Amino acid sequence: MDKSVATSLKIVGFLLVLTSAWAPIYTITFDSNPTDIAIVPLNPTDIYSNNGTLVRIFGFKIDYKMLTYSSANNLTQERFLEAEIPSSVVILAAALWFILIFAIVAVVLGQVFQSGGFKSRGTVADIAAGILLLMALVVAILSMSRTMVIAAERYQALVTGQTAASTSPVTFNPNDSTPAYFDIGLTGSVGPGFYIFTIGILMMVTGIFLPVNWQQTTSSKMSRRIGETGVLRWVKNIASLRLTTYVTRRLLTLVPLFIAICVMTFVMVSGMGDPVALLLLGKQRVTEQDRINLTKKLGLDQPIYVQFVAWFYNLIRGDMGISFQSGQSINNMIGGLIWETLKLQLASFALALLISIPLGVLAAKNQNSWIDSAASSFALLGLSMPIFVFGLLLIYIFSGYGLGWFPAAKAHRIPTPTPVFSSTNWQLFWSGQWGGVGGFWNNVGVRLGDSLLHMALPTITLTFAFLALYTRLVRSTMLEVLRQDYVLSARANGLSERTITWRHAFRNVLIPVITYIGLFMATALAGAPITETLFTWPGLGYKYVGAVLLLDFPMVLGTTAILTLLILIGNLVTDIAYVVVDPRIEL
Amino acid sequence: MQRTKKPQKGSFSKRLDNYLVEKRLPRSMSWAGALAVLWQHYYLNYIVQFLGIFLIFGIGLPYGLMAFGVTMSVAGVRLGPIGSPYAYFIYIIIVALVWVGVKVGWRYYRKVTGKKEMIIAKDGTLRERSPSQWTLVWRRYRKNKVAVLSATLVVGITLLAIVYPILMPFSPVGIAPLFDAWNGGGSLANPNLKYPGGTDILGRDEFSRLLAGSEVSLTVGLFSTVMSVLIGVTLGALAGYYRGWTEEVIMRITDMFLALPFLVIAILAVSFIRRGRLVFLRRIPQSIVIIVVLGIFGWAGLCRLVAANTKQIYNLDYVNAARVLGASNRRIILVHILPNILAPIIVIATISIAGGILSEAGLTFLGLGSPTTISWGQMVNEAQTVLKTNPELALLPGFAIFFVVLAFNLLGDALRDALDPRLRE
Repeated sequence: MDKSVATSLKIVGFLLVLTSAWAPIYTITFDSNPTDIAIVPLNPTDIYSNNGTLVRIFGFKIDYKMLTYSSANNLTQERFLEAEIPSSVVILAAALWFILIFAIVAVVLGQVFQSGGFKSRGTVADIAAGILLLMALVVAILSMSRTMVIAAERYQALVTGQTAASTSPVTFNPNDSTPAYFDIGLTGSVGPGFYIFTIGILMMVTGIFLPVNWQQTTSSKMSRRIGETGVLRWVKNIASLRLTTYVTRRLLTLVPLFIAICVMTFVMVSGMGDPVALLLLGKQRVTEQDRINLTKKLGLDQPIYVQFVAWFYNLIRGDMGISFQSGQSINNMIGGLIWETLKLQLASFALALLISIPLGVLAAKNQNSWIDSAASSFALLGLSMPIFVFGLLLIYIFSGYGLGWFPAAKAHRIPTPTPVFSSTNWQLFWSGQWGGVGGFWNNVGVRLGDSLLHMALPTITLTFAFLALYTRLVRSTMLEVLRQDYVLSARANGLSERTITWRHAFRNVLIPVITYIGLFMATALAGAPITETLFTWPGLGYKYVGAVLLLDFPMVLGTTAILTLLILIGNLVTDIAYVVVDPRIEL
Repeated sequence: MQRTKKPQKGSFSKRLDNYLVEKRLPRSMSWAGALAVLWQHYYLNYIVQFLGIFLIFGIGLPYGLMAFGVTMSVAGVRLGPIGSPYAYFIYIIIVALVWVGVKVGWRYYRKVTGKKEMIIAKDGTLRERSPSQWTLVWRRYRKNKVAVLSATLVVGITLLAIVYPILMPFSPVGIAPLFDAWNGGGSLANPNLKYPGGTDILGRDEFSRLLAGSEVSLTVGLFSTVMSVLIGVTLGALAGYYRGWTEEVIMRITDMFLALPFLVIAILAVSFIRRGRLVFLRRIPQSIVIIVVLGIFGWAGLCRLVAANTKQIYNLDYVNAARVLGASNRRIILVHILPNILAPIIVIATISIAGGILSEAGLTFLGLGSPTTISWGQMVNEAQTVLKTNPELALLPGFAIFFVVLAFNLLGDALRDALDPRLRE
């Protein structure tokens, strides 16, 4: 058997599985007819008949489509009940998603390992991929049968008018429910998507377990010719780099890491308290029913694993939910807060680098002189000073209590000056009112000045904290580099001290500094909750602490997830940058 | 104790003669001798002393006092409160540790400063035993003035945190000064001779509170470090020694803990334990919660370092020699590998005490403290509202944190210089 056969089986199978996501895999059709025509006109809800289909019951997407015929206006209304998907089906769907993703990754890995010569690893990945793919098939069938059962229960309840007694969170408007004298026929049938799905999975499994010698050059002339073409040759070259393997491995470990952290955070956040009680606190005439309704509305009535899967599923789709406290979308809230935090962090980071690099280099060059001890003790002071004490000191000296130079709180004065990037300001710009009081440039100047004034104290505080760390780092690295042989040989060659310092030594000092920049990018958004709280700066850290105290679960979860993701990616990028900058490091 | 026979004259080797004269039968050959050896073995001696102090003062005294107090209360005399039993146990443990530490330190000091030990070298001549590694470290350490100063500071602060109850002029939680407005008390009084730190909003003596806050800070710093060192060193040594799956699993867990945004998760964890749905967790005292949280989320960096160092040492010749001689894995790790990677562990542990104190202060500053615990961070947080009129209420505890953290940072730097002189250059 040639290896191109196995490869094409895998590719075609994958494409088929992908295609099946767009084809209905399982269809439930229901139709309701009145059993006794004579009673129908007495129906007070004026619903004549209720029929339609539940389409595309599949792991990827579930729509409950319902057609309602009303005799009053002779119109058929179509309603999608996407929000009322039962939780068990959501879980099955999410499980199917994860299984399929991991299966595809395992197939690719098996292929890479085997063609790369790792026979044993390739076999392990192959067996894992096969098992995962067959599991996907089972889960798809399970989800279909489960959906059928749920639909049957739902519509049987609808017929008998017992919707309220249902234990499932799905609720229909009782006004729409069909009275008991309707006869509902409910049939489920396997759609074409299921056949495509099954064939695709079976093809992939066959492709995996075909007895093929992967090391052998292919005998197929066409596949060899394809392998020689431009793009594929590029792909092969890149894939055979060690850096690629390294990055792929790191990326693959990143996924379970992220999921594990999310699970941990979710459990902690869910146990943090009862937000329903907090939200209803102080409201008058709250009944038990209100409490139940609110719990259902916030989705807290479901078991914790269902909540997690639903939240995680939405997170992957880029939706972090709605704040319990303000009802705003978390995406919008965090998007607004990130800028304020970044403004502070980037300014202080840049300042810290600008000061600490010359200071550290100077200290290392004049080792054991007064400059060195001054820089070291300065760094030690910065390292030992709690950030809030330094901030309080600054507030006490420079703010309203003392000199009164800078404001102590908030990011802008009240009333807030017109933002630079706002519609009113752009209108001024396009209408030509550039100068003068209330003109475009005046607004820009006022806004920027206000911003800088408010930023001053928090920026100095953060800079002081960063400065200590970076100065020590630069100093110790510089000392290490200056002891290297190439610096000695440069000196022996008669180069000037300045050239040695800045051309030869300093470039190597930059390696750990780059690492720190990467790590900084990751942790910058974690922000300084302490600094932001001290200066009541409306950034991510301040709002995060507020959200923890007010039990705003989606906000806390969203922030933590975003931060974790950023830190993970930041670590990865740092490691890659490290390897790229310093070729001495082995992977 | 018995001597061997006197050697015959004209033995073939002078060296052997000397050896036989000095040689005694080991005392552990007899029962009584074994007991004496056990008693005089100084490590065991320290353990016995530690247990003795703990049993007598930690268990015997409180229960005795309790019995005494019950008797007296029956007789109509009321004694003052003894305080929380947990806190008392911790005092006693600290006292016992300090006692043993002082003894060990004294022993090393005498060993270093005392007479040089004479040994028979390989070539048969008598010469001084060359100083051990720790002796060298101690000598290097002693030369550094900043190091000695920082060690004195740390010891002083620790002693202060233990004996502060007898130094406090007032109760740190009582509001007696509030009713003393004519004599310098009252609410928000300025510092004066009777109330050296002034009084806070509720009329409590700031100076007493400052003293009392040292206990929480140091306890949290020390014990969270102990916890993270225990976890980190154990896992790191296991990962570095047993390669393969063990290493893979431990390193992935380490990665996970390294990827957590520390302060963010600490805030979450503290509020989960202190005010969460699991009511039984709320009963845990505040400082223990913070110790556990800092300990659990702070070990990852150390673990990675220990694993790397262990890996490096794993292939050295003396480890292989020990393995050839039939040493078990546990013995190799505990006796041959760990003592050789002790230097970075000690340095990082010292610095992480400072980090623990800072984190505790930060968390309590953010309002996650408990109102019944006296903590410097929380004092700063409470004093923010009166910063204009009484800045000393915020700045005194703030600078107390700064001072303690500075002492530990200096100690860490000094230890690093002494333990690894290459870094000093």
